[in-house]
Amino acid sequence: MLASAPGCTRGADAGDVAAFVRLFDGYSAEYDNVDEPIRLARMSAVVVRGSIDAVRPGPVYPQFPGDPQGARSVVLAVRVRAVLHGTLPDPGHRSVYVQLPAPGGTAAEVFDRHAPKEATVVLYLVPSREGGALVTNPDAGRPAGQRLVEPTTPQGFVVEAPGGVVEPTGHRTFPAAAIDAFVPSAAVFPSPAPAEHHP
Amino acid sequence: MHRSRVMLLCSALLAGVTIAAPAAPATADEFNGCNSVSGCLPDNFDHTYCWGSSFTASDLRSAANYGMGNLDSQTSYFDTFIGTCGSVTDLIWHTMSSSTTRGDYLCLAKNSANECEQARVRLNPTLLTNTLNREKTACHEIGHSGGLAHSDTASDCMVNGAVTSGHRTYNDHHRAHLNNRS
Repeated sequence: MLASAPGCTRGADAGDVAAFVRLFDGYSAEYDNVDEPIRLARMSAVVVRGSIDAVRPGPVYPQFPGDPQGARSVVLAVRVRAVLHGTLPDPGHRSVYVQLPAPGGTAAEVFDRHAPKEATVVLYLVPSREGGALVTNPDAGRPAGQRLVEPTTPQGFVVEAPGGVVEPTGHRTFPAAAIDAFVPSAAVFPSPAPAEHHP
Repeated sequence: MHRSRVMLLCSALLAGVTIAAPAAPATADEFNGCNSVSGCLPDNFDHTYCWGSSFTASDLRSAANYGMGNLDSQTSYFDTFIGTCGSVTDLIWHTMSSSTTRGDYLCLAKNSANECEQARVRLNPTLLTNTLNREKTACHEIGHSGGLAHSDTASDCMVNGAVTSGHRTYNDHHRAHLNNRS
């Protein structure tokens, strides 16, 4: 757990960010990494900077007929502070609803408890394509009529953290990087901390 | 104290104590359950698998069969195909629809030891347009189901992204992790 510096203010609580990131252990996506933010932006419908308001239970996707558990998802309600590229799903609504996997079926309440709600997030988003033939509650997680979106790739979801930036679903960290280095107008994405390989 | 000096001190204090915190997710090849990397240690060496209702394409099934057979031949795991998916099937294969993600792995259920009891693996036919990359990604996602993480430099299938040759098997380092479950 990280210590607080008396009298200091900061945009993200370290413990919350670390705990929040760990909730995505058990999920991994394979994708082609891009170096230039504008390339990721061009792959995305919208890019926003904002903050997480809440995490709610999302749709559940049974994996086979009669599946009692299914693949659970959570929905981040993100308050949009700035649209950096593209157009919001509902231009008159200043929140987006970001669907993410919930590894191990972890409850949305746990995600909500650990969500770094004071941290700035940058999201590169596309319409959600999660799904399949089976879904038990397709309208869950957002107000009626609002569409679900999802990060374009794990590169498209970064969170400001004390001492750097983290990529929760990509399991990468960017020590000393500023969140503004991840916006579409930046020249290149910062380099992640190297993975540590032991013999 | 002057405001700028306070800010500088705060930055130094916060930087000094916080850099270590997000470092855990970058530590690859850690084992013991679902740790701070991407894969989850499964509950045992028996890797049963089945086709989910969306996993109908013969080229995807062929790649999945290749990956499961490779796991069986290269490691101490053994694969068993199950004709009907159920609550005790370890890996459920599905097709994914995405223009940007080649495949993914999701642990669906963890046990009290933080091991993964059941996982979903998906392949994306839109981006996996040849046999090499279908088999590479199948090998990759199965590797996650054995607890492996992404590798930035590995010559094997745990590297991220498209390949033009090779990368359809596990290297000795990853085989050791899989076999030792540690």
